[in-house]
Amino acid sequence: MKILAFGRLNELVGSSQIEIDTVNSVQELRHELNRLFPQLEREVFAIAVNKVVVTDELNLDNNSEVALLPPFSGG
Amino acid sequence: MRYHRQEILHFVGAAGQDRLKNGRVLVIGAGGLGCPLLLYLAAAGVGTIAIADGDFVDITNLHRQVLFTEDSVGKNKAIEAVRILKERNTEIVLEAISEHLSESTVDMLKSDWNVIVDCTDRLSTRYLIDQQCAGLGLPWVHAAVEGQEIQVAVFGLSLEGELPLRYRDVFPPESGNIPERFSCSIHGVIGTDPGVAALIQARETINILLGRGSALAAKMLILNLETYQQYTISLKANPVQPL
Repeated sequence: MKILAFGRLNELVGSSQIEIDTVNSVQELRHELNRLFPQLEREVFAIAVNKVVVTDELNLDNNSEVALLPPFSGG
Repeated sequence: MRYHRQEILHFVGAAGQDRLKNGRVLVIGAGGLGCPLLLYLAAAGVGTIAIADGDFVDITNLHRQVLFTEDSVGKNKAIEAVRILKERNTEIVLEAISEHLSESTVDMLKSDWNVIVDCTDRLSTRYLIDQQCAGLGLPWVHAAVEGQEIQVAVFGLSLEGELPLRYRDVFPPESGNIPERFSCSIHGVIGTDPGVAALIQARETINILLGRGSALAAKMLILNLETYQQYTISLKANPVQPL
């Protein structure tokens, strides 16, 4: 499944867009992201699915468009 | 006559211009976001604008903090911004607050403002704005820059049937380490990028003052200024988050 990463998160995962094996829920997604990119575990970021910020309970499928959104701070 | 070109818009008119004239806006930060934003809010005739910033203008600020001149270097940003803006519009009230927003200066938020504009580069200040505005029931317009991406969102604006959205609903501070600053002095920034974000903030501030709401209420716009890829995310209030 396609994952978009914004801000400093695209540096942490190596690209603004990555592909990972499909997972079934946002909770599983967090677990998988932490396994692949351990540095993400300490980061604050929201997860949006199909352009809506969601909680960990939401189910995912292969067509879900996932975005990782950290708080930006520069001004 | 001064505001004729915006007054002739059907959704502004004389009544809308009066709303702007009666509008009271507090701008937190007169840096890369605050400078261009202030130019446009003052030009639009927003009647009362206060500017809070405890920093002093540095020569390295000038490429993006376009309100200031070489003569501004070394001067307090809030005081200098007010001095310059008074030359540009003598019909509005401008107030300088030469301190950063902090726990000890938080009363600056409690002066019957209609909108708070977040032009800070400090996340702790942003969480303080969020907490205080939630308590006061005030809308606030957020923008920030990171790399070549900007994000803009409006928090605290009531939507029908929904709780007003808070920043901490989207980014719970206890969920991980939050870097205090993505500093332009370390990471670099093209001067136009905070300017683009600031003008979107200014437009949303004007929309709110006009009573038109905001297209970015409970939404976050992310725009990449290298690729012009745009991503707008719907945000949700979280009723279990404490104030």
